[in-house]
Amino acid sequence: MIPLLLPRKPLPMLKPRSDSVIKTIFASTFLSSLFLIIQTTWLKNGLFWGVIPDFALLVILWVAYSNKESQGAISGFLAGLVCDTLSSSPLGYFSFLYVIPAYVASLLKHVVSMDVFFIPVILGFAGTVLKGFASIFLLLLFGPKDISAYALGDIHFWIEATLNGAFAPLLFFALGKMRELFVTRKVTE
Amino acid sequence: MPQKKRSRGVSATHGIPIILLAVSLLLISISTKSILRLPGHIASTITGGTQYLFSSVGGFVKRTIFSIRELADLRNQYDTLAEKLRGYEALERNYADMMSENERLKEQLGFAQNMTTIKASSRIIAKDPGNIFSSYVIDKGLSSGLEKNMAVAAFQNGMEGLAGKILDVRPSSSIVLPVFDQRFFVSARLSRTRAEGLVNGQGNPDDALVMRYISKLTASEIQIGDMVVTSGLDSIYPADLAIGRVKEIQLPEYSSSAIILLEPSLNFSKLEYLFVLQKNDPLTPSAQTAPDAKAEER
Repeated sequence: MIPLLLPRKPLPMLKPRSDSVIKTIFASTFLSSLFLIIQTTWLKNGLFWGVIPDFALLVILWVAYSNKESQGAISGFLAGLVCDTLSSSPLGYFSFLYVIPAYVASLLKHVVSMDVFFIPVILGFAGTVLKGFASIFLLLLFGPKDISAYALGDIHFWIEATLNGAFAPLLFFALGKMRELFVTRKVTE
Repeated sequence: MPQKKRSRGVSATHGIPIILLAVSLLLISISTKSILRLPGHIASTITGGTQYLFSSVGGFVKRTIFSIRELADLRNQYDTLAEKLRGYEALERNYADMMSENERLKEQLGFAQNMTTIKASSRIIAKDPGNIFSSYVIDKGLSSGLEKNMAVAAFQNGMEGLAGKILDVRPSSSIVLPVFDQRFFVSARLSRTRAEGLVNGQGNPDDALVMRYISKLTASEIQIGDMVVTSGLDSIYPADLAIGRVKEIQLPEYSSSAIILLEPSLNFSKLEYLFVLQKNDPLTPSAQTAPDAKAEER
């Protein structure tokens, strides 16, 4: 009975260090950009049926899922800007496309816990589908003069989603090994 | 206090992505109106250079690894080509005779020389990072005198075909918008009937090109397999560059004009090299013709 009446010792507050947040954003943006460059050069002819898997999206999804703040969304935005300069898309297009899956992935971490295979596959596949819907939203908003979008009836879109789902476990495993670099550390106040 | 901290955390989780989405939309709306050119230009210069570097490194590694196998292949190819060369030597003699005859006939008919000149030959070093947009990055840019909206052609199976146009120029590379992109439009005409229309792509290299604004009356004269070429009416593309062949003729009931589907004359999956064309204005003598004109004046 007595211990219940005693004042509880306050738990130490965990707070992300700002330099660690910046490091996470910088590292993930750099890795995503590196993958984007590789996608445009070494993988320019595609991996399967001329379709290029989106490794940059997978990095952003993992970072968004693994961090508690908005690191994933911010690195998605920055990687999207890099992607826009590599592409014939208008500036801001891929930023929009990458922020949406990153945001959803950051919400998803409160609902499901990561495993080795199934969650990465679902995350990679669903992230691509979300990207597809976001592109259609932009097409409806700005019109076809400047904007292109995924055709949901096109087999190439589903191949990309499947490829992203298939590569996700491998890439997530590799990123997990470099956790120090891509996940913000928490320090006690 | 904890409530305050929690609300701050919620606003960070939800607020930042929403702000970023808003910024993205703002950027798109600005960039589609072509206002925000400078930051994009600087960034594209850096990324273009990086792409060039990656492409070069990849090419170097690939060449080194496969050089031994290539050597054996080259030996076989050399033997085959040496045999072919003997055949071609005979053909060349016939060709030279035909060329001189052709030149004479052209002169008699008073044909103007082809206005198209090749500004630069280039290699495709990169493509679009995703599968949504379709663009090529070539290894020539401002330093080679390329400009935005120059026509780009390719040679395939002994034929010159329209490949696209330059969308953006960087110091050492350029972005090419291919014919099959849905944002690409070119004024075209049927080579046989001379009927004019507007051709644009559908976004996929495997899909047919679409030719519109041809009246149904004119469409009755069109046959499957007819060649469609550039009309030269717009200021970008030179005339008589092959675009594709008629694959299907659709006569929709709701419209007075026909829709013609074209098989592209180029196989875009096999493209490696592109030629940037410069269209000479016939009214202003080019640098090459100027000395001749001066000599005539004298």
